[in-house]
Amino acid sequence: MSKKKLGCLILAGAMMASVFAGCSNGTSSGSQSGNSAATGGTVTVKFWSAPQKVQYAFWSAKAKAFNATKATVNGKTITVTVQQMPESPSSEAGIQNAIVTGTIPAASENISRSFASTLATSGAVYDLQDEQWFKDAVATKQIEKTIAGWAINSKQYVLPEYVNPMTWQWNAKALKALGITKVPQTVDDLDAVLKAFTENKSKMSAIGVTHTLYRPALLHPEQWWERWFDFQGPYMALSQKTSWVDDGKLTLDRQGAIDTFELLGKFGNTIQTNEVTDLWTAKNPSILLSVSSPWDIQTLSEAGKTYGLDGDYVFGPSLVKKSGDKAYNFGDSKGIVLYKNSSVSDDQHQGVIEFLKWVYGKDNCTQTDADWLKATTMLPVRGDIATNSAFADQLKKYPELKDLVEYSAYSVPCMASDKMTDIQTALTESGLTPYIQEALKQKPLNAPDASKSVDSAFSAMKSAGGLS
Amino acid sequence: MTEKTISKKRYRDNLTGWLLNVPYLVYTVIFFLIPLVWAVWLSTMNWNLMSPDKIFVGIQNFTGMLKNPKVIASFFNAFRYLVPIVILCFLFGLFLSLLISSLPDRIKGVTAVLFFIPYLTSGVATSVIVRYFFSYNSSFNDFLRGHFNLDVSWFQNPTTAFWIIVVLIVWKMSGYYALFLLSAIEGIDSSVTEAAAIDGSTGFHRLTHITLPMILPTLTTVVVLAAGLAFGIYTEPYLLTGGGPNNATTTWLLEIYNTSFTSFRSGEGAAMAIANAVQIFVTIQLITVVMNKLNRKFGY
Repeated sequence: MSKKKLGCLILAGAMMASVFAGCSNGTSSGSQSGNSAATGGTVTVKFWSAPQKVQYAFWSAKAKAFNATKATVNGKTITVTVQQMPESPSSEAGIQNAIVTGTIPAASENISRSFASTLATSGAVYDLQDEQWFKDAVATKQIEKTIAGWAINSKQYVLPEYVNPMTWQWNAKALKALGITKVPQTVDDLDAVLKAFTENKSKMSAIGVTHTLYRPALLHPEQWWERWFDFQGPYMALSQKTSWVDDGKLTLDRQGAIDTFELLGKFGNTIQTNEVTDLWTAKNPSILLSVSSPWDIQTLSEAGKTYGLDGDYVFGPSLVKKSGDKAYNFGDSKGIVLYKNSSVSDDQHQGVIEFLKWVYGKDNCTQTDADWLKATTMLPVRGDIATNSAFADQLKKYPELKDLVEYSAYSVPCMASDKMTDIQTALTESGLTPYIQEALKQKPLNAPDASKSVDSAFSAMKSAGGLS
Repeated sequence: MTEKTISKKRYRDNLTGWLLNVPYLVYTVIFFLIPLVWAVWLSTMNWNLMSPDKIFVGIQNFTGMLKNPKVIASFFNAFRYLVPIVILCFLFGLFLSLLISSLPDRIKGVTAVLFFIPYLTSGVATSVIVRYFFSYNSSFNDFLRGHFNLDVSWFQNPTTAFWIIVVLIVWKMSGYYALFLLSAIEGIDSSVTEAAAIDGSTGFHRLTHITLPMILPTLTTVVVLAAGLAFGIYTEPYLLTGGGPNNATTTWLLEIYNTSFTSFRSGEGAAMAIANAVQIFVTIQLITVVMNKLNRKFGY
């Protein structure tokens, strides 16, 4: 072979190698990597945490502790490896990609009820309801009632992990300036606040409060997930927990939807629809209330903000029609699923069950949830947070958590529909956004009639979601 | 040299050529041809990529697009973006290149690189900065409210939202295109410009009668590249407006992403990608035909 030809071959080989380098799945080539490793007396189990560092650190610590127990399955030692789930470009798309390419882990956290519904419809996750370890975890967490709300077609696919009850977050100083001494609970309470705000607009402007409700997302139909917070939450309270979609039917209560639209419409031209980058960390927040953001508790604490009516901000329940109604709210809640895929071997599936048994078993479950609360300040889904001493320190450190625990008893997760994105987008495009655009022309407490907008939204949701 | 020897040499040369082309061909097959065929197949399916059930729907995904207001908005928005982006990229690119070419040689290179920096900057980073710049509590909006009593909802007004995205893209790309034009301007023989100067052609007259005709092939490249750019907008509307308000800033890529990876209607997303490709191909061909005619008129 001539030198020239050899040179060509080497060059071509190098170029091809560089082309194929991009096809690597990024894992090492040892026998312990990926999902395919189940050799040499060891079974390597991949678990995906949420993309957030704090959750990755939490699950890595749990995996490390579990691995130290040298637990076995079919005589093989289980090694759990934790990776942050890819956001390429979203975590759901990352999971979709991993399922197609056979790189899906044995289990992951960070799964909403709705996405679990998509996965279940696609046969990509295991039904857990008859699994003994699942029943034990539910019993240990004391969430027998809560778990019913997580059912998808009468089956259970998700072990709920945390819940953020999404309610209202009030500017306590602004309430005080308006002479309000109690956190609003009912629609009438809100009317009183808005009346006071309108009458004292210049006084409020003088202390920097220029708007009432902060909600830019109302004008963004593409932000379909925001409807969980600004529609589903208030709707659940106003309709007293009438479901939105059930078994392929649009079960949304028309009057409840009208009440919800008009509740938002009451704020009129005082809604802040522009983005504010330092909303609650500003020295003087420029708004009266927003949808609550429980995940910001630590940030607000670090910014020197204090909680309570005498502090800087205070959480309030979902507003109900009349005193005595239950303040149902949207539960921003995610959990753990086990993936059913040809790339996940039986040993790996059994291995991840052993891991979850250890994490959420009788011996460790409370400690796991206490560690979770400490790490994330997001409430673990369990029925005894308020009474179990394991959580007392955190509840004392963050008094806002006490209120959130109370609200979480009335939290409702998102709908179980693989068409949720389309349904919530349709609601916004055909109903809520046009209605809010109309409401923005009005003064507070002059909400336009929402019946036409709601009817239009109903028809659009039926079409988008293929609902009857 | 005998015929056999010539044939053997030709075979060897051919083999070397093929060997050197193998990586490119393999690359093309793997990353272009196979995905293209697969996308065409996927576009005929109702499938979310995860389910074992793949339902063949024929051309339903394509016909459905005609009734989808977002797809229609994406189609027309592509042209709405195309016109200002091509014109403004051309004008600013030309302005920058003329400016840089008139600078002393020792600072010419540095200046060209400075104008090139926006191109290298991440679209995500610039979009985030722009988002902050136009947020309610930004110094800019504070100034407008304080001095002019102006409270502008920049991203809720279809016109301002659209133009913010256009300006951002033009700012990012003009320096890049200026480098092409600068290279062409620098390539004009000095004898041509000197002769023009002797004939009294200076300033704007020289620009339109000497410089522009002399750099027409490069201008063609810039126009075609800028036109292609207008069809590939994603980051800016994704981060600034989400395609709104009322689909005023949405683009093909944004809708393909939302359909495929948010609504998990991957078959429909593939159909949209194919429709987008057809629109790009036809538009670029039309622009190329026009530019080629113009080139021929000036003897290229």
